[in-house]
Amino acid sequence: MKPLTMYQTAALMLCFTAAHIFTLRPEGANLVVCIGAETAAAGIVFVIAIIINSLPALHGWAGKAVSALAGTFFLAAFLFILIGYCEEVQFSFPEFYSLPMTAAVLAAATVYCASMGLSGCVRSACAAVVMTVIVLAVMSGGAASGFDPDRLNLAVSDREGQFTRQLISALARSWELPLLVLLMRRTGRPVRAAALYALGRAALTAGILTVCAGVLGSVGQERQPVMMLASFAKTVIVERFDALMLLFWTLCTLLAGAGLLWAAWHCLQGVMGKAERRKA
Amino acid sequence: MAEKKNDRYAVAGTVNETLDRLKKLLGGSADLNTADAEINGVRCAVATIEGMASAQLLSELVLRPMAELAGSEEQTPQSLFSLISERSLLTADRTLTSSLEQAAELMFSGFAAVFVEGSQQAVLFGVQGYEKKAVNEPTGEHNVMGSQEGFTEVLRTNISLVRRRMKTPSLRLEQLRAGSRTGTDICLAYLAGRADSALVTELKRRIKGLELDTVLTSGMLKPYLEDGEGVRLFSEIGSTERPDVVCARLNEGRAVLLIDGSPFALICPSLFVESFRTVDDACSKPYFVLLMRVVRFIAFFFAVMFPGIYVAAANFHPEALSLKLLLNLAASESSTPYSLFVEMLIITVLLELMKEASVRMPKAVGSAISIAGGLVIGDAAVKSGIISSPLLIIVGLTATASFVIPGLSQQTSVLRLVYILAGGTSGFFGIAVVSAMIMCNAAATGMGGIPYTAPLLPFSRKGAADILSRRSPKALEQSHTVISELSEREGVSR
Amino acid sequence: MKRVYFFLTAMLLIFTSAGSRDTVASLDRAMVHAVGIDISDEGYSVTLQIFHPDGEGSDTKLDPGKSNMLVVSAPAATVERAVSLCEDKLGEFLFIGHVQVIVLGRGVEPKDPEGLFSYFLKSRESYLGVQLASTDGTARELLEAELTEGAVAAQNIVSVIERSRENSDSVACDLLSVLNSESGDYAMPRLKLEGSSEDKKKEQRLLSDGAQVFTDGRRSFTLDVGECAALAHLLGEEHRSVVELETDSDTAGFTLKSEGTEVSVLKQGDRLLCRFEVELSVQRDQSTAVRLGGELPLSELEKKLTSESQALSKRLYTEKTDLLNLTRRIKAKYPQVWLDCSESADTLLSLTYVEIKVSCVEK
Repeated sequence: MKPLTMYQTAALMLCFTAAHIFTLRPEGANLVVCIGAETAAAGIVFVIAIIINSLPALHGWAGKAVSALAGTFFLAAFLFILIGYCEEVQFSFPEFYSLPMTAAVLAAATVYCASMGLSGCVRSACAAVVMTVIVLAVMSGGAASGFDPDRLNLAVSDREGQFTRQLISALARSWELPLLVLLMRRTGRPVRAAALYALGRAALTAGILTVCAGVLGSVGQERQPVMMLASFAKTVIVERFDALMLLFWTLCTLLAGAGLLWAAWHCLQGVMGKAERRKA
Repeated sequence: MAEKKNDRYAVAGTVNETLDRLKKLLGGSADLNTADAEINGVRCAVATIEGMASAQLLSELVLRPMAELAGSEEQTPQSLFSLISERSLLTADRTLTSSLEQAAELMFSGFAAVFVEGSQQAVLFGVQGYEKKAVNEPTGEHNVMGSQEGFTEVLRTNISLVRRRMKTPSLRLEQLRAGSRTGTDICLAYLAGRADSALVTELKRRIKGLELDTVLTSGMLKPYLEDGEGVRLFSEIGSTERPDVVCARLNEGRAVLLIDGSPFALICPSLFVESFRTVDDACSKPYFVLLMRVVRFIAFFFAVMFPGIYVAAANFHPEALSLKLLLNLAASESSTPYSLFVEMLIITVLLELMKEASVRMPKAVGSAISIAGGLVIGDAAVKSGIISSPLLIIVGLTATASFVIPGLSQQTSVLRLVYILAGGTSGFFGIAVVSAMIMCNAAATGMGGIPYTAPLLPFSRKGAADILSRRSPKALEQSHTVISELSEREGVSR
Repeated sequence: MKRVYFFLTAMLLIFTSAGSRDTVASLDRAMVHAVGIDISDEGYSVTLQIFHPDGEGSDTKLDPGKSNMLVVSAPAATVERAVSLCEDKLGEFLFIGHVQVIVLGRGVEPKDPEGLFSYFLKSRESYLGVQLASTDGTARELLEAELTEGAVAAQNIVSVIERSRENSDSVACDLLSVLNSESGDYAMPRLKLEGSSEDKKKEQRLLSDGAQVFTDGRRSFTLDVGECAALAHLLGEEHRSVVELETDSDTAGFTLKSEGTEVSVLKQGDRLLCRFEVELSVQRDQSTAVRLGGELPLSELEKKLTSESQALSKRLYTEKTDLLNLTRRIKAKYPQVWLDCSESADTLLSLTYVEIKVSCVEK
């Protein structure tokens, strides 16, 4: 297996972050508190990944058992992400997309992308993440006229409680942690890859939520702030960004799902004891 | 060349017997020319294929010198044979063989076979005189400041065009053959010390392992040389009609295949971003090159994705379009009988139809297509309300853009339709799904460890300079881009 | 299983429509570009201004010289129901993604903006930056006016609002700022029609007439042009304004441009001081300089502008209306103080006093 570069590993992981950001719901929590919680979650994920990666690899029956467990987890994570995406699409664009068909199409496309191999997925992930960041930056620029730093406040009575709840929620949504550990074993510089991912996750989440908080204020706390920002941002060429957000959200979700499917397949191969096929 | 062991078609001891065997081998083919004569008491015969060997060259280079060399003394068959095969240089292209099958193959390539009574070998002299096209401008890859020469259908001419530009001993030209019935000559060219030897070996192995009976064009070889099971959207093997492009690619460490009978050389491996480079880039200022590359990338986007995105935005997400544009669109579409999606499909299919017609039609009726396409379909269709004028502008722009990147014309045509179908039925969700699948497909394509999407994915700082611009002359002097720098480490598995 | 089958399967599934159950293509829907809400006997009356091309050209029906609109109206108990009735009257589904302006007629008060605008907030098509405006007459009258500037009449309304704001003759207010208002206080541009619809010889013109202030969602008072300018200075929005100054000999007009307003919130004992330092640049032109005999009367200008700003601030204090975003600034700087006073915004405002300093520089 060709070792991945740290950028490729981080990019595939950031697809999870990007996919999650678009549907993030603070459930009434202060957005500045959310920023803190998400940043802390990124740091915790990094530390956990490093610890697990430093553990020795298991062989024999123990190894197969772990592979089986991991494979099941990856499949379950894929299904959760798939269903979660379909439900959110229904919520955001109810007139157009029916849940069963959306799920079927996304599943088929994800399987196809996964069948292209890990290298195809990670390279595509690099492109997807770069494009997503650029579009988010342009969107933020389009909404910048409404930005007011005074909306970034911590006037919350239950600051610690909100922080804890958001942190737990962020960690619970970190499906990509086992995949990160798996990919770290295939990356040339695993620690740097994990650090790059954690930094990227923190920066991306903090950046976009800061803009959301500064533009939307308390309005963004009750809804999906990023989608709301997308429907407010306006530029000369693109009048509104929610359609573009749908595009990049779908792209990132698809690639994230492909990564999970590849991981599940890899674990299955580990259970079956099949060696990796090398190209002739 | 390995000799085939078959006594029935071996060169016989006598000229008559040899000629009989030859005629039997060729089934009494009407284009076999034979002539026999006695030179200084020794019976000889010459066999050629009509139209392949030049009678004038044969007479001037072989027959007359043979007679002159023989002199007035009586010769024995062995001495005469030795004289023409070992003790003289009548032509530089000379082969000995004892197999008539081999002799026949060479005769089909314009050689003349000389048989000497008593000798069980034939001497073949290269006196090609078949009809061939002159070196002309390439049909597709036009440019302003570069060479105006393109490859022809004759392998030897193409080899000379390359050799003339690469006057280095490290240029290797290896002769291969493919096609059991056509015996098509293939020349594998590469620069020793720069090209990846593993890639060269692999290419040779794949060509030698071909079981096709006919190889008539370079395109027929492509599927057998590509990695993967032929389900890739893009090909990691490029093609070009230009000798200067071939030399540039050879200098970058790639291998090139020249195929007899095809003016298109195959470049292995090829990258996606190279479709956006032209010969003129090397002759232009870097800032102009930057502008033109950006224009080409935009053209590709317009050609492939724009119609689909337009249909998706107008049908599913019209709030993303500006108000004035949307008002004009709504006003135009209100009178048309079909939905925007159906109109876009119709006009795209019409566009492909006209493109195909313009390629296949006889030149004499060329102007009729322009009239039919421009006036009838374009103007009349809008005036009669079948399609709307904004749509015509979009499709015109798309069509023009698709001609900017001729190397990706197949993918452009198909993917455009795919995007329109995806965007028209599923909006931006469909666009995203198709984009992801195409990106994964392209990113997984590669040859010899070199990803097709390099140096973009994976990103390479050194190669990145060549994506949007060209490297400065000073940088080029110091180091040259070699394709193997983009290669990933070994080992691939799925 | 061959990879190509997955590709084909996905394509087939997309092509058999991943979505559209009974969707109507957006281009076949009626495009609403302005909405008016009035009070009616049943509750509300909603007027929709819908795009209807009036042109007769063969290539395009959009004639910019005409109003290109169709107006439909319906009353109901809620705005949502009224819009639904409008849809029934039209016989087409509505597309509200490009609504340019929502006009609130006489008596309409967004005490609960989430409720009043729920129809727009629920739809993902809606633009949160849609302009809100108020009128003393009925919104229906305003929307029925045949305004021919711009491709559609609503564009004319929006451009009047934007020009007035830029010239500091009025304010701008969008849906997001109303929803975001901490204290429920905001100002909307006030529009009126000049000319009668019966008089066909004279085209109706739309004019801006200061601003309508809403305190806690209720209509309270209006701001005139001068007060709107003072408000713009204090909020530090980018704008231009013309101020008239009486000199010994003449009344001269001076063009001012905003160079920014620095706002600081300080704690002074048990009170809060909010300091506004407004910087404006005065455009020097030769004719004024000649008339005034040389130097610009910057100190007089500063004095006048300061007194106008202070008068506005005092009025806002009296009316207990926070248009200067004091609540938001205090929340950002002293969140605990805000939390302690969060039960009553009036308490917070009563603890805050405002200091204003205007400085003018010549440019």
